[in-house]
Amino acid sequence: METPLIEIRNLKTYYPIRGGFFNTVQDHLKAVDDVSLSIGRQQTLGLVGESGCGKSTLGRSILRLQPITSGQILFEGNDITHLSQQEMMRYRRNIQIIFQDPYGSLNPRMTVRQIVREPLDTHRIGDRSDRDQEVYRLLEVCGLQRSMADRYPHEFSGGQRQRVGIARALALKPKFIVADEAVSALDVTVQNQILKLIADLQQEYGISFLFISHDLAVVQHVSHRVGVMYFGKLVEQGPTAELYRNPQHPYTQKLLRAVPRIRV
Amino acid sequence: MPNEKPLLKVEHLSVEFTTDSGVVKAVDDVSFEVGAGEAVGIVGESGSGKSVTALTLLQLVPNPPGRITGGRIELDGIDILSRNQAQMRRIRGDVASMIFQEPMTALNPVFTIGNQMTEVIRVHRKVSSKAALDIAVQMLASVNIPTPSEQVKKYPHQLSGGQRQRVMIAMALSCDPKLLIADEPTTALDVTVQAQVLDEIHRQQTARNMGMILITHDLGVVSETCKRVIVMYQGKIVEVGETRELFRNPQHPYTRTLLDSVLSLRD
Repeated sequence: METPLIEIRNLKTYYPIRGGFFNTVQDHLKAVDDVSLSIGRQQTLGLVGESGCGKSTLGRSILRLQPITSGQILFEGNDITHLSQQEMMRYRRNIQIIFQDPYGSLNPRMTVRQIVREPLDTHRIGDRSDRDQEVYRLLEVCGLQRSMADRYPHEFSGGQRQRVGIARALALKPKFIVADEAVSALDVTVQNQILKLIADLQQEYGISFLFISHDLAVVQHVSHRVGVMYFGKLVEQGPTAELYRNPQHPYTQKLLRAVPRIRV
Repeated sequence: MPNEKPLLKVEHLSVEFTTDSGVVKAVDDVSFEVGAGEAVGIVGESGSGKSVTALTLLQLVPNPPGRITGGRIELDGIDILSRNQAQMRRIRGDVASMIFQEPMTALNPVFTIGNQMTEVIRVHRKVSSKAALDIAVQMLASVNIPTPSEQVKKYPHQLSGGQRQRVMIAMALSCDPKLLIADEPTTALDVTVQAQVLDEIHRQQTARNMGMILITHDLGVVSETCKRVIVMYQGKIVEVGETRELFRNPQHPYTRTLLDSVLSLRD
């Protein structure tokens, strides 16, 4: 069997709960509690669950943006769980993240050019003019115009800002992207355009996604497989069509029943 | 019921905002009606003017920068736009009340639930604070909050998001309004909690035979709660109709785009 691109084994991320006289650790909040999953190449794993269930913590843990308690994270079969910050740099090119809030995640004092070019600068890819050319290419790939490069984030709409965030995430040609509620803050018509862009990018560049969302319809639309999280545990996972048609866990059933539907 | 006078009649309403980059028409010549006991949904994307329309109904749009430039609002026989703010305070909460999206910002964090609920009740009814507290407890019980006599002593942060929204509903209904304006009441809630809160709103609306305006960007929510729906786009009403019929057979191109964009669960 082919090695999956990403494999998570028994991942646990606990947050200490402090209190008492000496502010000692009293207990732990089990944000991610013994989760195992794998994501194949050019695959999208949808991750659904309600607020506080640990889905964002899981995404951040996989990227090692959040210290984990125990477990293993494998990228192309290599254990990256205990790599130092410096060793991690090499892997960071391959794993990127897109955030929910296109207003909060772009530095308001940087131009679009600077924002998109920053990862190229950090990793010292090409010379100055190569990088500028690459910025133009990325903007065009993401449906933005070259002329927008020297404008600031506040001059753009929410959908355009999300495109800038995607262009930046693509700059290092990653193999894996965590999309954390990437379309949740957008209006439905704009949401649709961004989902289409994400699907095109997956086709074109063979990127794998962990698509985190509270919106069950969106997840059904974009995912090959879906995982359901509840109180830090992955209570159910399976191929999208099967999981939506025949949910096994009572929580998944409850979740699916609760979604308001358009009746005609 | 064609001869019956509608509960709410809005005619040619226009609202403008003065911004740094000029005047923006947020609401542009909008006319609609809501019958007694009728639930009407207003849908549209952000910036379409749906919230401003709702706020204007109770003269809650801050002026400046907002300005009502024309039109008429008749609510339960009252000409709303001719009233001053002092007179509006008698109308808000009594004839019509409002629920907002974010109960944590709508509730005052430094007062207890009981304190805030009795304030509303005592503005509109001549009752002692003891009697007002009893009414508050009854109201909380009616929206299915467990152990209501304990909950009135709590502060907003001690309740969950769903409970806080139930408190908002109880507070909005405490003076038996004829019209409830709910502006994205479940948008901040998780889907399972959303289903419970929508059920509660629907139950109260039918039991009290209260008119309701439900503002939302979620077409599924409207479909499950409202008989009639208004679609807004760039400050204008582009389409009005029976919810089922409108969703089955949208006439306006924007409504079609909206419906095509919505991803709903496929079976």
